Amino acid sequence: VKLAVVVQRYGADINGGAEQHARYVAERLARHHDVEVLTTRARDYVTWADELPAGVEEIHGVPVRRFPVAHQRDVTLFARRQEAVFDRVHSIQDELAWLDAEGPTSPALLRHVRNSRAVYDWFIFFSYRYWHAFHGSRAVPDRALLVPTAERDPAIGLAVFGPVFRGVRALMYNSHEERAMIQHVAQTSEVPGVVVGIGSEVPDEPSAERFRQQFGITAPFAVYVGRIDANKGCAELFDYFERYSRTVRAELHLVLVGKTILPIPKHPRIHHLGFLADEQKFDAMAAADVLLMPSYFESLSMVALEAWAIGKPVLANGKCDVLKGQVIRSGAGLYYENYPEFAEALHAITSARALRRSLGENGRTFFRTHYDWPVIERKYLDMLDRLERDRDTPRAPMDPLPGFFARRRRTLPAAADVAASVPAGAVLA
Amino acid sequence: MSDFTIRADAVDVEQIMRQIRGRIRDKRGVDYTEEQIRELAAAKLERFLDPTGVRSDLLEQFRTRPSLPPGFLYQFEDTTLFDSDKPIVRFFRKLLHPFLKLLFNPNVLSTTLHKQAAFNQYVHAHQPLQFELLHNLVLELTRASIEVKNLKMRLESVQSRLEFNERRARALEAVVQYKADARVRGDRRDDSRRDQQPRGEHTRGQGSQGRPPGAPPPRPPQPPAQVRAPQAPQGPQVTPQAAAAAVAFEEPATPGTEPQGGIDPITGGDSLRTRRRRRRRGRRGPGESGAGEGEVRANPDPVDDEGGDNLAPQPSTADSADVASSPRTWNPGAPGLSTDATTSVQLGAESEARLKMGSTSDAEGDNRAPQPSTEPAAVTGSPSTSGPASAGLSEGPTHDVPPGVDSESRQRPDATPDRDDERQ
Repeated sequence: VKLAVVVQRYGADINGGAEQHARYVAERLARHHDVEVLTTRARDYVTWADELPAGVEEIHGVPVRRFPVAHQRDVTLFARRQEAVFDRVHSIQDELAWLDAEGPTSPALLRHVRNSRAVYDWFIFFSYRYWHAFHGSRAVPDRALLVPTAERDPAIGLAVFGPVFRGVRALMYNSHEERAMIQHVAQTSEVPGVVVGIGSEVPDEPSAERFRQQFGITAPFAVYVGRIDANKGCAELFDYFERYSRTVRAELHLVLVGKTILPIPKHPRIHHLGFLADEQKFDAMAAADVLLMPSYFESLSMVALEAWAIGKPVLANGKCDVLKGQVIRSGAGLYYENYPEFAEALHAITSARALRRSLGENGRTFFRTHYDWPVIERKYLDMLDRLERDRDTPRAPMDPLPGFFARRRRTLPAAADVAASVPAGAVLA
Repeated sequence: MSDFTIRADAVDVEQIMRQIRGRIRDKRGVDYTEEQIRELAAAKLERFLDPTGVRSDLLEQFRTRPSLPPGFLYQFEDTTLFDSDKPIVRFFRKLLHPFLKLLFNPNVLSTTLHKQAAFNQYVHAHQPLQFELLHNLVLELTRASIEVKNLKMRLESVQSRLEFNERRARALEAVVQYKADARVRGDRRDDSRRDQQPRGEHTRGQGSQGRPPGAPPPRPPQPPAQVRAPQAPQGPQVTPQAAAAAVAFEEPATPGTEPQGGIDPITGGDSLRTRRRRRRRGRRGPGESGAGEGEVRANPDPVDDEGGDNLAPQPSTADSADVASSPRTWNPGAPGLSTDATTSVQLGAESEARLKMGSTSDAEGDNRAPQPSTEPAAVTGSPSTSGPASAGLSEGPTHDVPPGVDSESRQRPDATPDRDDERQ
């Protein structure tokens, strides 16, 4: 079976969640099938500027074919179009314009997908909200698998995505919450789907002692790993931690790992280590008492899974349904929805060793059961086998886009309102 | 924040979160939901805003404001003045535009109208924001008022706990001192001490509290022998009764002597035991033995001594509460006894009578304090309380009363003049 993994960016040094997810999946499936990655030359997800060389290169044994982006993102235009579709009554044409403004607009990539539909048995598209996934899925619906990586944000309420969700051959969800949300907005119960998620390359023996020696942090600390961004809830995290440090437990430190686009407060117990290599990152996690996940929107937190893989509990933002659901289902962490809960939960985890150990053990078990690579691989392979078996089964085509005038009729509700109407909460069943 | 007791195989995250929320509720008082806060916001607005003339249905009124007049929002560009549905009309207007500009300047008009249109749109766009802002302010104000109320409750709770802890600390300190003294003096007088304490406490209470306003600051305790020697010549001026009373209620304090629990060593006020015993005396009635106000006992408490001027040759307080509250004091600096001395004498006689009535307890009360200086040989008549130790601070047999010794013999009234002489 020849597979094409289609993703907006790709590279060993690109650490976006969906991009890393795609890389891991491609590399794992390459052990079983013939896999090729189709992507753009972009490195920056804001501008989509062509930075990487065009053509084919091999990354970790997987051939990667890069295509140019037609135009970079105009931030002002994108913001205006986003406001038009997220907050106001709008038309299909407005949504397509928004999608074009968001990018990465790569007609060459789309052309290749369309022209090589006979070359690949299956196309696995990542990230429903980007141009390449939308148009690519529409180009080869009968061979398309979609990994939506959907979050609870207004984009899920856009009308153009409903036919895509319903029209692809299979949906590979990251979480139960994501599945419930997509099924609600797009009625995808008929589409084959499975909650897969993503595994992680976790070293066997991360060394807490090595980290402490290397960075000189001997005090107990909580760690945050990821992009330090207000959109990831880091501003709230700083506020909460400063209050916690001031009023509850002064000796606990906060270690931040990752690139920052947010000013980090000057605080004697907040340490920013910048971007770390994987080994150092896992060492930091191993040395930490708890991993903090303050993000409001996540389709799947790989960092949380990695923390669980090495037996560390997670304190997650309970306003993110996915994180809350995972924490509850795994029994491997606690969650908070306001400062008092943050303070109590953090204190409970960091001060009660038995609780910490129990949560960590549960996390390890949860990871092994659901997110270990053999499990993930098996789910993908099973889905591909199933699709191969049903390849000849007739199915309804993907809904076409409306005509010229219907496409311009402003009758669609604001996407934010649609997204807000989606039932919230963790899926515990 | 308490710790959790978790079994490794029994982690229920939701149960832990329920515990956490319960604990937060306990700390914060009532935990309000968003809906409840909104309801409270609507109700509380009256209280908050009525004084300024703003009604509680402000938000609702703001929300249901009259709709915009038709045509309020319009577009006005530089071409609007010359626009038309009919292309031919548009053409001629454009053709004649230069001619029109000869007659007047339409640009000013179109610019003004354009700005007005933009302003209308700006106002319209920001009205929801203003509503949102006002709405959020009201909610936050309500939330803050609830929090203030909760904090007040917590403050009261903490204050009452603090007071309780202070009382408990005083009680514990009194108990600790009691035991330490018992270790020094042995256990044999424990029983009688219980009966003795009220009288001594009373005196000490006067000593610490009865210093008249403006009195000089208390001195540190001094060895009684050093004090007594220069004051001895004044002795003959005092009647034996007065001396007895004076000595009795002005026993010098000696470091290491037993604090009888009458004075709190920290606060200087009556300790819990003192108050308790005072209540007990009040229940027994004023005529009973041990309840006499004029009863005196050695004041071994240094703190008490400092406040009570037991050793100081300066205006000292009299014995009882009555005397303490009275400005009449004995002035050792004056030749002989002043009119106050008469009072002292009377009180002393009264005290003496009471000493006889409760002789055993009185004797115990005096002698159990390891203050040899307060036990002159002439008074005690017991070899155990006489000797060189009486002038020093040593402890030992001289401080202890043998079980067979009649304590009353050590408290004979005729012994008091000697003591008084020594003190003066």
